[in-house]
Amino acid sequence: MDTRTDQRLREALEPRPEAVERIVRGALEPRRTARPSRLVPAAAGAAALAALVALWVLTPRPAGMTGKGREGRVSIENVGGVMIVRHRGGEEGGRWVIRNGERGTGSPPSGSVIVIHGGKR
Amino acid sequence: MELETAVRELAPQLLRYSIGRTGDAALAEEVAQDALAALVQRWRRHGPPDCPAAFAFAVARRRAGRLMLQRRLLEPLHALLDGHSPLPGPDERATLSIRLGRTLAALRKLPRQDREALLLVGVGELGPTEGARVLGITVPALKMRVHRARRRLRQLLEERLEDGDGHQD
Repeated sequence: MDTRTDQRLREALEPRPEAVERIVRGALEPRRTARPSRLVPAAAGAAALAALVALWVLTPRPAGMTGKGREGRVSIENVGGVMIVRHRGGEEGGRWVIRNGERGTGSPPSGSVIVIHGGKR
Repeated sequence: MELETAVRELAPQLLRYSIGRTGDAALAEEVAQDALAALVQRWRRHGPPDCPAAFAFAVARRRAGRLMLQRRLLEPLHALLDGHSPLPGPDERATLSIRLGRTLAALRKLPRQDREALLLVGVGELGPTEGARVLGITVPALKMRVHRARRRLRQLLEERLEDGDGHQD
């Protein structure tokens, strides 16, 4: 099946002898150094991402950041026409939420405050 | 046949085929070496395949296809990231011999299946049976493709000569 066209083709595409020798040597090496697979960095990246997500999900966050934590920090009750606001969190009743309408002054913390609806300051 | 003899015989054929297939000397070396390494590995583990040439060319064909596709897909990304395309640029193309450049250009104009058949049989020097085996077609179908490809290639190369390209050879 050999023709003149094939001969011309082969001559045009003839590789350099040193290139031929290089690939022969490379192929016959007892242990050819395998190229690092591109899957390895991809898998490592995916694992790192998964670890970050897991860390973010499992890290305990302050109660105020979640909807659940916000619930029940202040209780508001209506007792006989008087609205009572009580702070639930913290030790010994926690900080005051409302102090007689004046910042920094008022009665010492006791864990509850009475708000009189419609009263004068 | 000894392994080393087979590798030495197949190396230039595989390299020529790979140059014709990829149009890039560095990529061709990678393809040819991968194919030979696969043959060596197969030979050492399980003995020689029925037809070492068909085995190596089948590997080279798959590898070249994958690398070319990869190149085409990554080309825009490379161009975007560092302004460098993995495809041969004008400078690299200019360093290819004029004759090789013309032959590759003419090969590119052939229908893909005909080109593949011609590269395996005409350039890689596979026999019709081995060539047909690599391509998964019958021997008459392979012969038909090779015949068509030769005729068309001859026309293309002659047209270029008539256009005045040939006087620089």
